[in-house]
Amino acid sequence: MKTTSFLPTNEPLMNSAGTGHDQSIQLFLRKLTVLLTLKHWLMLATLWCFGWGVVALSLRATVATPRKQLLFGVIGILAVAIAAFWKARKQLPNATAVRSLLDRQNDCGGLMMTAGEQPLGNWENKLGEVNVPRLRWRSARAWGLMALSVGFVAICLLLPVQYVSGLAGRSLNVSKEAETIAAQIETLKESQIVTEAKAEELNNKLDQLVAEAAGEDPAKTWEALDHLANSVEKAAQDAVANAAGKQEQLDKAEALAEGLMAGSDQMDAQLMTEAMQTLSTMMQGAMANNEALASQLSQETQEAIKNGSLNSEQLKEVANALSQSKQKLNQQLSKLNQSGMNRGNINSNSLKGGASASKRDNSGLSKFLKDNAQKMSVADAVGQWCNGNGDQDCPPGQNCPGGKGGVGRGRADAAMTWTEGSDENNAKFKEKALPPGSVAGLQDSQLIGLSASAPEVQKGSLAAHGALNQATKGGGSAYTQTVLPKHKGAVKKYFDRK
Amino acid sequence: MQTILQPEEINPAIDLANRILTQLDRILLGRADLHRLVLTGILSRGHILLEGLPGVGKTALVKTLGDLLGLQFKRVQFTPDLMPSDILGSHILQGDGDGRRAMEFHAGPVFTNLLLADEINRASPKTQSALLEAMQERSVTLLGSTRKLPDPFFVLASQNPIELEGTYPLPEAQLDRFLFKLNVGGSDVETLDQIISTRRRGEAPQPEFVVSADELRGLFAVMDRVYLPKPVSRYVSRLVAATHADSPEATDDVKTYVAYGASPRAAIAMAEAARAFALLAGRPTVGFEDVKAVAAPVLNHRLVLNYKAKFDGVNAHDLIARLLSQMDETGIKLPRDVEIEK
Repeated sequence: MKTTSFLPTNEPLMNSAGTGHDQSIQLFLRKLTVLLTLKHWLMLATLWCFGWGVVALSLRATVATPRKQLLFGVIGILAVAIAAFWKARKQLPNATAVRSLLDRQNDCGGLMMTAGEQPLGNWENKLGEVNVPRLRWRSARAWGLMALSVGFVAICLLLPVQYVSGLAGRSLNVSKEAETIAAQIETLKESQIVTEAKAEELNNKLDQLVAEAAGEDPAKTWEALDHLANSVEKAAQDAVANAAGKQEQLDKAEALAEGLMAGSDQMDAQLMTEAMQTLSTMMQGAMANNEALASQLSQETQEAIKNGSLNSEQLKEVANALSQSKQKLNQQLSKLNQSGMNRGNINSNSLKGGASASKRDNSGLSKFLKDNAQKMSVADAVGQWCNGNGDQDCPPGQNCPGGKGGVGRGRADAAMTWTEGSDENNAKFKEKALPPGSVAGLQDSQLIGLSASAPEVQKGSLAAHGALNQATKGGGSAYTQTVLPKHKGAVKKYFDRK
Repeated sequence: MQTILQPEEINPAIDLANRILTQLDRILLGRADLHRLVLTGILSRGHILLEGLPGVGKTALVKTLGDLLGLQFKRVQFTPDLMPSDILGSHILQGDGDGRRAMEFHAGPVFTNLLLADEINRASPKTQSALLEAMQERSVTLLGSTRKLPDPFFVLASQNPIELEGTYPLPEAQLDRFLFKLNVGGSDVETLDQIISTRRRGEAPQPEFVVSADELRGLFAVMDRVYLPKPVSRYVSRLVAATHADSPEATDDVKTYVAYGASPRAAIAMAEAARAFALLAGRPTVGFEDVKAVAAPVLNHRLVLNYKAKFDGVNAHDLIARLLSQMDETGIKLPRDVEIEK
């Protein structure tokens, strides 16, 4: 069997002594090689780990290298083992030195050393087996440093990216704000408030902004983000305002359709024709603004709308289509509210014909139209009918001014109402100003007696309150202490000493 | 291929060395380690400087060693007025029976096997220098003629670390020629009690045997064959080199306190001494522990410390001990947090 020799090839182990000593020398060298390799590997691996950690941290901070790629550094720990073995081999003593070591350790008195140079003759029998000395390595410090370096690498690899960015001090973390804006852009795209091209353009702008976010100048980044957020919000506000107009338009048309459906028999032919004509105008306007509405109506109904001659079935179909369109608009508004873009807080409830208006009973509209036929047109009457929306105290058809109070619950044109002032008749004490003499002369006053009655008040004069009553405006210096004559000498002396 | 000393070759030498040591320990009580190092020095054929207070047994040790090894022993008491000729010898105009006169050489006390230079630091530098050639070359040159000293030749000098007034500290060149500088300390209570109770008037017993010249030569021959492995010789070299402040392996202490490090002669001396020490330990090869055992006696008198060391109270022994503990013998360099357990 071939064995690996740890000894230099040009150096004979011995020339005459037994192989037992050769084996002892080999064994010692093997043990020393293992120990030195381990020691050097530990040292090199420690250095490698510290270096690896620094490089990993730098790469993560600068070019955001993923952790998986950085894990390849573990190969280096294995690679340094080769270097450690090479270094250990270089440090190995030669066979002569090991022989002399074994001689010393076993008290051979030079016989074993001589065995490598001279035949021992009869002395070989006296030179028995030698014990290979044990090696001792105080490795606590090395292992401690290794553990420290491994911990350092672990921290460098596992440290969250925002802390790494923070360490680098270069980028500003705007991911949360960017996510919010991206979600808002997506909502606008889904709601078809902005076109896909416009949404793409906004997204590109946002990405560029995040990429260029710099920690050295955060104000610039935040300004740009605010500008983008405002642009998105403005688009949403415009959409909300547009939806409000549509909602009102749909609400009026729905009210009229339901009114006609419920009480067409109460109206005369002329009023009916005018109402049908008004409905036709409203519906054509609504369909022009809302393409989905037309798709919900049959061809016959659309023709009837154009002609202004809708039967009860068609009126019902129109009312249903209008109701569905309103619901869609409500959903769109809800989405915009949820995305945080509707800062004006215009919601479906606050709009005319909004979610709350769907519960209104429009069966009385026919009578209202008939009653006001001479006073106003059908369109105005429908508008006035719808103005009483959402208010339970205001009966349909009545123009109820004012709201119920609170934000978003009524108009601002309501008259202000006041309750009566508090009654002073039963008040025990009334506010009165004391004359100035009663305070100023207090220190010089003399007690002449005690009385339970109220003090006498001199009318027409007011007390001069407060300690600073006599104070005048200063000249800018707070320290106004007078320099007394005895101090003047000291001051003069101070300034004359030069 | 030449083999190392085999057990049957080394065992007689070990036996003889142990017998010498046993005799020394028997005659001079309580100095076993010192005896071992002195014998190490003798086997290494080196000179030894003994430093200690009067009366601690320096002269007795040398005399006993001379008796035991069967060596000729001479003692010279060094004084400030001692002249080189008093040690080396001199030429004297001498007349023969024919009435002719000629300069005849009268050998000095240096012509011996074992010379005890007592209180060597009391002689003048001129006289101290007279020993340089004798110690290094083991020969004496006078009036152009060189005379070999007897073989073996050892100088065992003594010096008193106190009473330095009127003394001449040994120059570095002289110190470097001593293989060892050994400190002879006082005896403990047990040893003193044993001396008092067994030695009347302090007279030491005579050695039970004397080593013959052949036995001594055989001992030296065995010592010469003790094998020094390459990693150990490398360790010796590194150790000596590390005593120099500009050496890469110099410790902070060496850089701070050492002005001049040990010489190459120190490395040679350490290797030889380690061989002898291994032989006394009964081994044919030198181990790291042998080097460590002789490092301090070899190096302590060879390091020249600076003034900062004197101010901080740091001596050579402390520095060598720290150097030995901080330097890895094998030269294996491991990371700081890796250790080898036994």
